[in-house]
Order: sequence, then C-alpha cells, then structure tokens
Amino acid sequence: MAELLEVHGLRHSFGDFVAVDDLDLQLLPQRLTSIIGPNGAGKTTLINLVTGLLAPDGGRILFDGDDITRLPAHARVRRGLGRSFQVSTVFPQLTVGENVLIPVLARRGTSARAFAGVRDDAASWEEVERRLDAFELSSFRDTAAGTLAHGSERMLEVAMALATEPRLCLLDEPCAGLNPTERRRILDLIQRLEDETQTTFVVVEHDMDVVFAVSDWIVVLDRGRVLSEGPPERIRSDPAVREIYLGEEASS
Amino acid sequence: MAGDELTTLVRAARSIRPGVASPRTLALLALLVALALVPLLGTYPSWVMSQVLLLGLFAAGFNLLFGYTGLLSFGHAGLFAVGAYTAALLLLAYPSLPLAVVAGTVAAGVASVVIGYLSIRHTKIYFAMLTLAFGMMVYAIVFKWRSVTGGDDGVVGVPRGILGVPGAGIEFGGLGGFYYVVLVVTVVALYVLWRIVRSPLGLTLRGLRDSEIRVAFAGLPVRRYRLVSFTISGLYAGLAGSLTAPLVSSATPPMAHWISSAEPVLATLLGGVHAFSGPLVGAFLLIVLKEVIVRFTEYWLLVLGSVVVLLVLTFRGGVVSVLAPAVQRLWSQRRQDG
Repeated sequence: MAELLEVHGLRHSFGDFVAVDDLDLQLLPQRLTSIIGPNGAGKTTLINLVTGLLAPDGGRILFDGDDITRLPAHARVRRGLGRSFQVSTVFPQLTVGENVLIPVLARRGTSARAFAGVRDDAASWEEVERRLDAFELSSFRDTAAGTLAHGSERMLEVAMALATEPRLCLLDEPCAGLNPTERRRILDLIQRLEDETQTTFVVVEHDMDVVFAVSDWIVVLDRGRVLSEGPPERIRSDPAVREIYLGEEASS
Repeated sequence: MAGDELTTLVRAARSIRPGVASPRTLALLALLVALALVPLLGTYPSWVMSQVLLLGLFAAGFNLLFGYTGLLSFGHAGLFAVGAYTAALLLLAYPSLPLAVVAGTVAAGVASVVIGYLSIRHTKIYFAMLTLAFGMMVYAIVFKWRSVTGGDDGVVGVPRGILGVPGAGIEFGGLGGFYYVVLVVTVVALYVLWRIVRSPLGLTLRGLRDSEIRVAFAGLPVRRYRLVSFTISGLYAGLAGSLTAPLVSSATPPMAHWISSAEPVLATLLGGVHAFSGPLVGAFLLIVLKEVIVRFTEYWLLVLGSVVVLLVLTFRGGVVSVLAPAVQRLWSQRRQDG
C-alpha cells in the first residue's frame, strides 16, 4: 500500500532544544495510528511541522506523494490534511452550528461570498445538522460555543477538524481533560469514523489504556526520534518502550 | 409527504400575513421617513445630520474590521483623507459629484490594499501601531506636499459639484439637496455592508476575530481575508471622506491625523461593537453631543471627553447592547398585555 504521509529527516529546534531530531516516519492509509511518548518527546512539534504550523529546520514532508514541506497550513488542509488541537480552538462567540459551518463552507469553496445570506444556504446547513448529530451536539446548535461544557467543546473541536473531510486527520490529545466516560465516547466515535469514512486518523494521546484499546499501529517518540513502532501487542512488550515510557509512568 | 406539504403551506401562510410587518421593519421605515424630513427643519439640522450620517458610514465600515474581524486600526483617518483630498481636488478641476465620489472611494481602496498588505502581517497592538504609522504618513504627505495639497491650508473652496456631469445634471441650491445625496449614499452603502455582515464572508471574518488558527485549519488563507476586511473598511472610509470634503467645502490635514482616527473608534465603542447599528448610534451621540456642548463652553473637548467616559462606563458594551434587549423586553411585554 502506498504511504499517505512520509516524513524524511525532519528536524526542528527551539533555541538549543532539539524537539524533532532527524525523524523518519511513514503513515499508511486506513491504519489508526497513535503517537505516544514522554513529555518533551516532540509529539506536538511533529504534528505542528506536518500540518504547517511550524516550518522545519530541515527534512521533507510528502503527503500522498507530493512534497508539502513549504506549503502554508491552509493549503495543506485543502489537500486533505486536517487537525484538531490540544487546547480547543473553537469560535467562542459563534454558535455551535456556525462553528461547523465555517469549515463546511471552506470545503465547498463559498467562504468568500459577500452577498449571499448565510441563513439561505440550506444544503450547507443540512450537512452541519448531520455532522452535529454524529457528535451528539444537535441540541447545542444555536448555543454560543464559548458556553459549552468542556466535554462538548472537545467534541466540537474534533467535529470541526472533520468538517473539512480530511484524508488524514491528526488529533492532538482529543481526550485532554475528559472523564473516562467522555473519553470512551470520543474514541468510539473516532473508531467508527475510521471504519465508515475515507479518513485516516492519527491520535496523540497520554492515556496508555486508551492508546492500546483503539490503535492499529503505535509510534513511540523519544527525544525527537522514533524509538519504536508496531502493532499494540508488540509495543506493549518492547523493553525499550517499557523503560522510557511505562517505567516513567510506574515511577510517578 | 402530507406533513411536508403542510409545513410548506404553513410557511407560505406565515410569509404573506397581510399588513403585519415586524416591529423592526416598521421602526426602520419610521427612521428613514424621519431622516428624509430633516431638511424641512432647516439648514442647521441638515448640516448636523449630514455629519452624523457620514461619521456613521465611516464608523460602520470601520467596525467590519474592528468589531467583526477583531483588528483595531488607528490609521483609518489616513484612508478617509485619501478619499477627501481626491474628491476635493477633482471637484475643483471638474465639478461632477458622482465622479469625485467614485474616484475618492477607489483611491482610498487602492491605498487600503497597499497599507493593508503591509499591516495585516501583524495583529493586535502591532497592527494598531502599524496602521497608526501609515495613517500619519498620509498626514505627512498632505501636510508637506504643498503644491498639490495646499499644505497646512488644505484644499479650500471645494464646490459641492453637480449631480451628474457639467451641462447635464442637477445643481445643488442649498444644503438640502446635498443632504439627500448623503442620505441615499449612506443608506445604500449601509445596506450593502449589512448584506456583507450576514454573508459567508461576514461569518468567516467573525471566525478570524474568534480563532484565527481555526480559520486557517478550515483551509482558508487568513491574511487574504484580513486584507479583504481592511480594504472594505477602507473603501467605506474613503466614501465617507469623499462626501465630507464637499460638505465642509475643504480637505485639510487634520482629517488625516491620528486624532481623527479615534473618531470611528469612539463612535463604535460608544454605540456598541457587537451590533451592526452600534457605530451608527455612537456617531449620532458623538456629533450631537459635540454640537450641543460647543454652544455652552469653549472647553467642549473636556466636557465631551467626560460625557463619553461616563457613557462608556454606564453602558458596558455600548449603548445598543444595553438598550436593545430592554426595548425587546418592553415590546414583547406590551404584546402580551394587548
């Protein structure tokens, strides 16, 4: 199978700190991959480099065979590379419906229309309804997103990332700050979407139980490099991983 | 299927309801009629209301950038002045008002693209400082380029021109005729702006204000949208400027000064950032207050400043944001009683 994303020799440092150090990575389509690693391993930096929020010091990023290393973030989204953030980036003063409508209109290419009424676009609103329904957010459609409870806000964050219909969707700690029930709900949803849609998911997550339960493939980062990768059962028994990651968890 | 037909019928029935217009539509119509009757009261009210309309137009366009897009510009007086000087110089050369207004607006639009392109790389205070600097560059140009702009005297003796072209158009007798031009242009321009605010573009701009990064990750070029917002607001500044010059029969350097850039900011804050009508109500309050206070004291700026501070503190979020819900409550109460 052809790789959906290829990263070659990627490097990025913040001052003296090398966050991502000559990193190579391949992601296959339709394989739910989790990226784990201790704090400071470079997980979020890697996602930021791949999605265009940061420019790398060196290396190449290929998406679907094309070099996207120098493309701005919005152009990568256009090509089918979506993401969510660890700290929610919803539009607090807009309604939940409008929050989802913005990426829907962007995908449909009608965001710049200056004289059509937002209210009159029935087809787009229908899609918004459908998406809200999938994320159990329908009852909040006309609520300002800034007033949502944390759990619903995380759901909205993921719903907005998916409204661009990405082929590859990177979720940066989608469960941050959620209780176990909410966590279960969001992960079930991700698994279902992985099966039902053409989207391939990459999840950055801290909770090991969660990671082993949902992933097809796990990538372990340490000090800016890939320490180990493989299916969950292999990662679970990898001594190097146990030492740096599970060991740290056990001692804390 | 039968259910669908029923909803369609109900919807159709609701939309025709003969003779019942919404209170909002009625209020708007009443306001338009009142504005149309102003010249009957004499020259002075027409003079004051012309200023109100033009500051309202300026501030409403400014608020697309400020309230809707979340970018505070302190250089819009520069764009206003580009419109005013262009219109003034053209009117002196060839007294066609429509030509002068169109040229003034376009010139301000071009200036907006240039100044905007250089300013929108930053946001917040850095954006505000950059726009202030560019605005003051316009001030410096009109102040120093004496051979064209008349230096600190400005361009004086600007005629109101002819509605049309010389030889085939209406000439203005008094201020009344010109007031109607201002009124019609303002109403049309505000309607266009109102449509923009409620369009997908308006939604995208509000998105920029709330969470720029999410707009980018919706797949939209953030800077381009910021520039579009800046340019539209600049066109409105230029339009207001190009009508102000013939109104006051001059274009002078203070129009471009950053102190003038504070006027749309004040009007918007006074009336309310988060309502379309906020800058309009604010412009009315600001101009009328000024006109009233000037009659009683030469320290009118001091008094005006105090009143504005008082109003801003009393009406958190602007006069409209505080009064509109109260009016709505009153209205629904009356309907229940009746």
